Amino acid sequence: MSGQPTRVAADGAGEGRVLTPPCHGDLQTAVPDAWTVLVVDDHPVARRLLEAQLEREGYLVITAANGREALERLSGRFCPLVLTDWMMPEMDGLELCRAIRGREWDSYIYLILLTARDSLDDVLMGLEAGADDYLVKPVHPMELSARLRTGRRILALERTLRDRNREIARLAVTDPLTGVYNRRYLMENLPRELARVRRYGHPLGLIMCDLDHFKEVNDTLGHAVGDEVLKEFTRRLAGQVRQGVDWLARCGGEEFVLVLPETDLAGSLAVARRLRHLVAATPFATTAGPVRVTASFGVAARPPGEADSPDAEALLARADACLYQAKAAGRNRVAGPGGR
Amino acid sequence: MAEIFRRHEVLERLEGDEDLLRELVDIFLTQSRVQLEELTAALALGDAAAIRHQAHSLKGAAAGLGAEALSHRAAQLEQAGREGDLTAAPALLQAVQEELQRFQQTAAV
Ligand SMILES: [Mg+2]
Repeated sequence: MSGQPTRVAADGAGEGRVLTPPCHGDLQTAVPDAWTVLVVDDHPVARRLLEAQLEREGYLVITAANGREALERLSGRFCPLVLTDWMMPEMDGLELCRAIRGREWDSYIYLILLTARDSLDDVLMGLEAGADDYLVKPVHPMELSARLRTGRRILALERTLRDRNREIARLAVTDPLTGVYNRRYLMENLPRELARVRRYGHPLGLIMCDLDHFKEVNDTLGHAVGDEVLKEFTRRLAGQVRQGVDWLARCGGEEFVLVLPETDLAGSLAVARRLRHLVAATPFATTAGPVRVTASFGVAARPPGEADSPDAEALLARADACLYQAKAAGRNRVAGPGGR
Repeated sequence: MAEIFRRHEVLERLEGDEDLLRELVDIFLTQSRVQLEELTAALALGDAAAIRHQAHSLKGAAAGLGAEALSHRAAQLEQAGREGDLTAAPALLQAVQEELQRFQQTAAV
């Protein structure tokens, strides 16, 4: 489990996977710190000149002869710095700026527009189209490298900010002790997950589980050992779920919910039985020595099709009722609807 | 007075890389021949927009290579194209051609 929620939300809400920095693609392993610049100019001399200047500075360079080609290059390989000429056939620099700004990218693209000395009036239009900066041709290498440094600084800042926002969003839905999702994530995401399976008429299983006599562990061995038990419990549960599909949330105290999209009742019951065995079979290793732990499991499922389509609350209530039955029947057992 | 080839200045921008300068001049001459053909064709068709674009491109590349006089001539042709008045364009194109010749000869040394 290594302190990460077991699942990364596919829709990017809240939780996000950590993206590799945009400028460190696989082609760049040879120059670990290099940034890629996309040079766009219709004139081969301008392209070669900029390419040579940039490569001398340690940049990796890709080139395109017009805006349309530039967009193709960008789709093939993300590039955080773009240096584009203005006047080009097929798609000019202005259109390219607009097209780039009109789309979602891995991260911000810093755009520098190249313009002729007598076209300075056009610069405003370029900045309005989405360019971050401009350079007058012929470009002096020192000026070019200074402007690109500015661009890199801004990109680095933007990246830090984005990573931090992501981390904040991740923490907001993570249980700090166990690293699995928290109640908030469960309440936000279970309705979404149900809506998705309902659209396709697919099943979804839900297992609510609770450690048996956990209060005694805390009372006799202390809360620190109690925490160790909770962590080990989560580890055992998380080890059994399908990565990227199933997910686990701690809803409070010693109660957890396991969500199994695309899994029907029989499948969910099988998972719960396996988990029950996995918990009870081997004592938990703690700093206070091995501790025998058992857990009770209540299982509910949204069946495939349309006939029975409980909402998140109803499904949780069903699983909770089954969990209660499992407890009442003597604990360390699995209960499903109808006493199964 | 515009210089034919500000070689020293360009070389400085290229950090003294003579090989790169030779490569760039080669690319430039090849591209310029194509562009002159395009300009001649555009002039025959009276296509002011095409003249403007080709001349603009030539102007920029020439400036980048220190072909100052050529860049100026191309700028005049671009201006004619922009204004849509092509009466002076044949003479301007002629001047561009001559300036390109001069650049070629100077750069070849
Ligand atoms: Mg151009």
